[in-house]
Amino acid sequence: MNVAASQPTLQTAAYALGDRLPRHVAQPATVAEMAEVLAAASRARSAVAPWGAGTRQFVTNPPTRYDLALDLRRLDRVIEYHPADLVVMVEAGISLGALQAVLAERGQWLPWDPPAPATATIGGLLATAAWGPLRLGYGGPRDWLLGMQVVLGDGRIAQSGGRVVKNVAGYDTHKLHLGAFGTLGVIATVTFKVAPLPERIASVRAVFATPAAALHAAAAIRQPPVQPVALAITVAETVTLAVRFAGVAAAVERQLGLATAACDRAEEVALSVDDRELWAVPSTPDDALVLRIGVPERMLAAAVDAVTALAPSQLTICPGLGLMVGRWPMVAVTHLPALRQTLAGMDGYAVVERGPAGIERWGPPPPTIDLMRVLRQRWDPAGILNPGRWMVE
Amino acid sequence: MMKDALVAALLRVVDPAIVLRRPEELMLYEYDGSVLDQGMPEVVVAPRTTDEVAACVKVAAQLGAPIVARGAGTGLAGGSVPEQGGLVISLTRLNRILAIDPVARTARVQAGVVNADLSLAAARYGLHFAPDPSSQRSSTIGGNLATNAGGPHCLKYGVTTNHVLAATVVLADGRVVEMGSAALDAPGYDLLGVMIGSEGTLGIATEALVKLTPNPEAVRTFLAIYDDLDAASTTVSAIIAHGILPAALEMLVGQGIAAVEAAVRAGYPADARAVLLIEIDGLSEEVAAQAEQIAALCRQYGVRELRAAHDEAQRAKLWAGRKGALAACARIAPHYHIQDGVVPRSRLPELLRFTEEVATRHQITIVNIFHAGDGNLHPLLLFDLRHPGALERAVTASEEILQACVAAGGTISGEHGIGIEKRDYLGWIFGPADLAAFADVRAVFDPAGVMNPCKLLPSGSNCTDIRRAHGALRAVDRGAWI
Repeated sequence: MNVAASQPTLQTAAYALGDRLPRHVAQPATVAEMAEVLAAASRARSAVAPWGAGTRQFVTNPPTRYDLALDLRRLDRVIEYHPADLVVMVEAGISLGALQAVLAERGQWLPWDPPAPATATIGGLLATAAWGPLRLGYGGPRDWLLGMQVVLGDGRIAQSGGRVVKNVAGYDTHKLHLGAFGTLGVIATVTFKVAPLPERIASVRAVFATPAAALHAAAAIRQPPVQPVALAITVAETVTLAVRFAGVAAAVERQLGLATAACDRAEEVALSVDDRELWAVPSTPDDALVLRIGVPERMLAAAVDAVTALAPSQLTICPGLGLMVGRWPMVAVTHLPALRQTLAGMDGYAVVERGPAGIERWGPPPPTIDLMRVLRQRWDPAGILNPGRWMVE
Repeated sequence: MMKDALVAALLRVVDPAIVLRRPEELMLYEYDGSVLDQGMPEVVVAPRTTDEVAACVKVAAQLGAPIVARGAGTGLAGGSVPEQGGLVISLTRLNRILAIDPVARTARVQAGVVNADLSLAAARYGLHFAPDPSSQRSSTIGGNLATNAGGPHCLKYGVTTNHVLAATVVLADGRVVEMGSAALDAPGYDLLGVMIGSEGTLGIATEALVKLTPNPEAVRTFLAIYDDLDAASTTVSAIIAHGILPAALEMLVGQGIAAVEAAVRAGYPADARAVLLIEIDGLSEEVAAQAEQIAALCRQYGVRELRAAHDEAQRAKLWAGRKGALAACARIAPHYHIQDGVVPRSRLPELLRFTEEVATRHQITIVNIFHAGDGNLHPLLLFDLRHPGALERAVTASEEILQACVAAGGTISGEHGIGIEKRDYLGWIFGPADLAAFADVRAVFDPAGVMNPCKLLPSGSNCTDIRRAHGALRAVDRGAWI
């Protein structure tokens, strides 16, 4: 594919990352074209930023070099959909919203609710390890992924996994690309298993005096037989626990009752039958420092204390997952080393998802960082994929 | 000589009591549960700690000796067979459950802990370890990780990789690292995700942090009896297509039913053409609703009889029939070869018909006992080696069935692994570029190629002296499960 020829029609300004603009934009329409682009870029040592809808480019630093924006939105087809087998194969540039619409026509869905606009692409969401509260009940995208085709940094097209729900042939290399920020290869096609839409989805929302009281209620609500599919505590001006149930109507009904009873210390409890608004993505003020914090599940309450003790915090806490998203005023960035030290003592971490330029995004590297580096060199020998945007460099 | 050098080096770094080198000791490690493969190790070690495993790996790697990790040896693809000789590291002494955390619903276990023992220990908290391979009373967590083991209940609950948070891994140079984390989404590539299912070619897991799953509030188990094969397989496809996800959906076809009944007395009607073992679990309202839907679908597609287990004893009996099925088939013929292909669930009826055609054409008995809900077929090819040509017919029939699975959009192994048996079939589903990317991963973890060499990937130039023998089949015995 001729990259230069397509350039005049495309606004490079739409692909700005930090204060950098790409010199070229490529919009391949096939996986083969995408492979040609990457092979040529690798030969020319041109730095490439893979681009979906651009909704989550902020979660890591701008690249240190940036020659080509590789826009995948023309790769937006549903390749195969077999409702009777609950399997779908798509090109990576399709948006999650478009995929959910296709599935909904057949009474199915991918139970994946990342906090991103409906235009966000499957490839971008996977590459940035986007997850949402439904992970509690349904697992994350890693658990729904059956196979993947990837174009490696040197232009090789490699696939792994398959199109059936159970498969142990070959290495599960597709898992390596989840959360790799496109630094090992660019996701081209993806196969998921999908699920029938539940008969009923409904939520309970309760306001508590303190995060501790909300966490206590959340723990009670996780006790069998109650099985929430999502739990989120938002800590802002008020402390609100949202609990979501899905399944057979009678089972949802009983669990709503049990959950309400477990919120007996709440200041206010409300049922929400059409709960889409309740779980809609909150808008993030751009001037906040946004942290993704993970700890072993039993350390979650201690981690909440640690975050709030250091700076005034807005939190979205996910009990049962050991994860939270914290928003600090930008000036609180000086407390990040102290927070990381405390979290390390809990076997946890803090990653900066939105922050000032030049900030240390990842914290200390894992002990296997050397293997990660060698792997990156194997699959992207010219180092063209998102240089400077991932912890291995 | 390699053996002398290896023994001497091992004795310098570990307690001599864990080093086994007499022929009668080594013979026990010549096989796994597969039938085509064997190989004699030069030395076996049975370490008691991660440090001992690491010390053994280090000295063997320095000598360039092949290193093969082994759990209970129940594998069905030759993955733990020391085909190239060298060192076998038996992990069965690493058998301690280190901690169970009922609040976080996790357990930290050593690799040699038996799968069923973990669920037994977790039962006091109302929890269990969800992967339940039929070998679960023998097979170890380490082996489950290595093969990404499944089991009947993985239809609803997922396979091993969905239930592991972290693992302590001894790398090819003897270094000990932690992969994954008790905290979800810790920064870094998902090396644990590629380690699980890598059959000992990327490293040796000595400990794992696994998730435990709450026991369901309600369970119902049914036996659906059919006079017609298509009726049974169409019912399976219909249950999935209707959006019902049973906890397990198993199928037994043909002569296997009578054999199971004779051996286990599970209450399976010996004259049935096919039976489905259907289990649903969850909240009581869900189970009640699904039970009605399933009964209606079974009737719609022509079930002869639908029986429900009324108590735990009846349920256990129905499952004993399923889990003991492979051993029971020893009553039909003395030798077996077992397949593990997968097809999309909607293609099950045609694949089962094709299997019967193959059986007729090659004059061989094929019993299908399998995970129907996943589309994971286990055709069990039964024959007598003393009959001339029987083995060749079995191998040909097996390959034809596997090729049909691939042609239907499926794969060559759902849960048993690639090991030795299927390494040369990998090219049926992956192209040269895919295989090269797999080889890259292997080279990253094990540049010298000492970890379980010549397994999992097609045998290439490095593996010229492979002794692939089609004449090494064994009798069916009570040590094998599917």
